[in-house]
Amino acid sequence: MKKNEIMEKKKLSDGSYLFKIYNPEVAKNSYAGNFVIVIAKDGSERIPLTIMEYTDEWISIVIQPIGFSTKEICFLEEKDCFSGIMGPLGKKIENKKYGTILFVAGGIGIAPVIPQMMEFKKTDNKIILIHGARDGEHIILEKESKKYTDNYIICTDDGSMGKKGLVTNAMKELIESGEKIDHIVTIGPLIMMKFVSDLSKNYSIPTTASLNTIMLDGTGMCGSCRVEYDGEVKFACVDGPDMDAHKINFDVLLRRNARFKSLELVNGEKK
Amino acid sequence: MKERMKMREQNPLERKNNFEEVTLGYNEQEALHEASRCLECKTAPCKTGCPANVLIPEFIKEIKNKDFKKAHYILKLKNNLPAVCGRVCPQEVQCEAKCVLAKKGNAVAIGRLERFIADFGIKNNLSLDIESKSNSIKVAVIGSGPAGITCAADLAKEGFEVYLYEALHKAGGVMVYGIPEFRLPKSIVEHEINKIQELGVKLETNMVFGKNINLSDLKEKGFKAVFIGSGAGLPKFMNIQGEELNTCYSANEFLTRINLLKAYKFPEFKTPVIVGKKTVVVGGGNVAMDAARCALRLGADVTLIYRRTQKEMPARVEEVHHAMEEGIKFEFLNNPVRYEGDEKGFVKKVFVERMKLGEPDASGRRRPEKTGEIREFEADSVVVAIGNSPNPVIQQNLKDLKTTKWGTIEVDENNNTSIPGIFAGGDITTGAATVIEAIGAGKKAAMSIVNYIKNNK
Ligand SMILES: Cc1cc2nc3c(=O)[nH]c(=O)nc-3n(C[C@H](O)[C@H](O)[C@H](O)COP(=O)(O)OP(=O)(O)OC[C@H]3O[C@@H](n4cnc5c(N)ncnc54)[C@H](O)[C@@H]3O)c2cc1C
Ligand SMILES: Cc1cc2nc3c(=O)[nH]c(=O)nc-3n(C[C@H](O)[C@H](O)[C@H](O)COP(=O)(O)OP(=O)(O)OC[C@H]3O[C@@H](n4cnc5c(N)ncnc54)[C@H](O)[C@@H]3O)c2cc1C
Ligand code: FES
Repeated sequence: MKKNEIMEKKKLSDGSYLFKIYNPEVAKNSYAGNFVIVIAKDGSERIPLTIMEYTDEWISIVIQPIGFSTKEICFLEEKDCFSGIMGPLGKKIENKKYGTILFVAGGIGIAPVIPQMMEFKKTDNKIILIHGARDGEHIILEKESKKYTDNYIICTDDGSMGKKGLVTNAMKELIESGEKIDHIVTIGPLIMMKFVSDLSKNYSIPTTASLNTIMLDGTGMCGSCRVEYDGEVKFACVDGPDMDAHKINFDVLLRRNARFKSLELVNGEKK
Repeated sequence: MKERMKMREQNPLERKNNFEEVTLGYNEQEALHEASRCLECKTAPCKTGCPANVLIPEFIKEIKNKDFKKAHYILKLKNNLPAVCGRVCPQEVQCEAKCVLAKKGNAVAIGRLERFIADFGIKNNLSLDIESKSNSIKVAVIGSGPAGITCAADLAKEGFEVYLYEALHKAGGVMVYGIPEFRLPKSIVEHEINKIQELGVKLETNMVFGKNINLSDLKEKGFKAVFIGSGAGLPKFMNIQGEELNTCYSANEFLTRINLLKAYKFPEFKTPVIVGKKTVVVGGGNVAMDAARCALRLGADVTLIYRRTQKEMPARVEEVHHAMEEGIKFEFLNNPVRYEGDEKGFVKKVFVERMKLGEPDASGRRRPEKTGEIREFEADSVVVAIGNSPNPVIQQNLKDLKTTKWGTIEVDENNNTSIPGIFAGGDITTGAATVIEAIGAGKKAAMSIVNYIKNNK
């Protein structure tokens, strides 16, 4: 097996792909919270992706083809090799017993949530998961989700699976029902994380959000990933990606994540 | 007395539209003319001005003899990267400052001669022909900037089995991600990287020490020593209002997008960069010059803001001169106080405060002082180029490694760190400095490693 070889590629029901990649050096140093920078081919963009599973030899990632570079990655097939995989980057989660941890995941955000649920389960936390998506097809990784949760709540925008409505509704319902939540972890679209954070602040529940900023090097060298955190500048790639949601200025982040929108590529060409 | 030979250059009006090299180098005739100006002083003061002690009069003498091959050999003895140094060293404050002719304002163009010989070596694919016998002792070098490249090459020449680990996907450090193509063609850096691989150095990219390769892994695999040359890659910000705006970049981000990821060839290369119609660059060093000239080449009208005067600028004189020729506007004695953006977060205005010079500070330069007078400039992008600090990743992962209050790794005069068997040099020990100082440190550390391993057998 060659370094960075694709051992397995699987299409998931929401159109995203799961890749199992051979790279022992990255794999054996990985833990929940870490991500890799992936370079599909020579000359490609450097794309950050969360490590979902890790063994001594391989890691897996789940990737949603939303723009040029993520699509380019999804065109790679089994036996192909990535031009580069760099990591594990970012802070590993601090694994301890909080009591009850509520995970609020949106869409593909379930992939980074899986390893965290797995690790937090090992330290005897009660795990509740709210997974929200557009429709039933966008609810992925159900088997894994079931495996690590004590309570697994699905909600969809169109009601085609689970409850109809937003994750924040389900969250409110859960908290109002008297369930004592000690910690919240939210991963998904920025706008969802912002609303989850606003809500949890009302209930004074400590919350971690995983920041999917625009990155280049992933090692603290460029500041592309910087966020406004408690009035200070922090780099999501080294100080995060998981950070205290209540200290993050989400409005700045939303603007910064759209900063190259005017240059998005359509089929590799300028619009 | 003969005049100092000028170097041919691309016309400023043309070159401001391309990323091709600005200076064109000497041809043989020009080099011979310039070499003939060297007085071959016995005391060779020029050598004392070179942090790597390059044998300057010796190599120039061989140019006079037209034995370029020998000149190349002599040059390479002390400097593994002469084609780089000939282009980017601040000769005017180093070797050329010490040249006897400098007093008449007309020093021998040592840097240009160095470049001539180095380019001759590259064109003719010359090697040093050093027979090294492998001793199968493994040494790891972390970081492939000039310090790491030099240390790796010298150790390979001594027969060590050298592994060079680089965090990024391309080797070369600042020479590939920072310094632009028009000042240092990437093909030159690639050539040098190929050369050290020919010497037997095993290069592994995408390897981050402290992440996917650790000290314990290296010990397990039988490595006997480690050299850390991880550079000063942490960008500084001023912590003023508006630095979070979409088109406010650190120089590192801006230059990495353009040089390492080739955003200037977007969309052939896929990494984007936005400069807009007007760019403001903040700073006065080489980094600021490079950022300003890149923005210009991407089509922006560029204003550079520096808080002191031209005299205090740390940039190479030649770069400032080139930048001015290309039409970059300089606003000396000004300092930004805040940036203002539109509703989408794109920079629109830069507010600057006029400064005046006060008493000299620790660096001996006169300290800039506020005047309270604020002016505004229109701008679509800002590049902050006020300096870089050491990257803390390695230090954070090696708890016993002593660091200074500036975050640099502490070393003694032989580049030993506080952990036996671990050596360091270059910007990670000095803070942001120069290519040639990093080369000097890499060389010295290689010697120390040889001695350390000999004594610990
Ligand atoms: C730490 C981290 C972990 C991540 N983990 C995963 C993961 O496990 N799976 C996954 O599918 N994606 C993940 N992402 C997001 C992924 O990196 C982006 O989707 C990708 O960079 C988009 O590149 P593109 O060229 O395909 O899209 P582009 O054409 O660049 O952009 C398409 C759209 O996405 C927006 N966008 C661009 N970059 C990002 C970004 N970094 N994050 C969010 N939106 C962006 C753009 O504004 C645009 O609207 C992660 C990001 C980070 C920082
Ligand atoms: C834009 C710019 C222009 C410059 N212009 C000039 C000039 O004209 N003349 C001049 O003399 N000097 C110039 N300098 C300064 C000069 O480039 C540096 O002083 C020199 O490159 C330092 O060399 P170094 O080997 O110490 O580190 P670097 O060149 O910084 O290389 C360090 C390398 O280590 C890698 N690394 C970091 N951490 C890790 C890790 N954990 N694991 C593995 N690898 C790691 C980095 O990715 C990098 O490739 C300039 C600098 C910049 C930024
Ligand atoms: S991605 Fe460059 S500093 Fe975080």
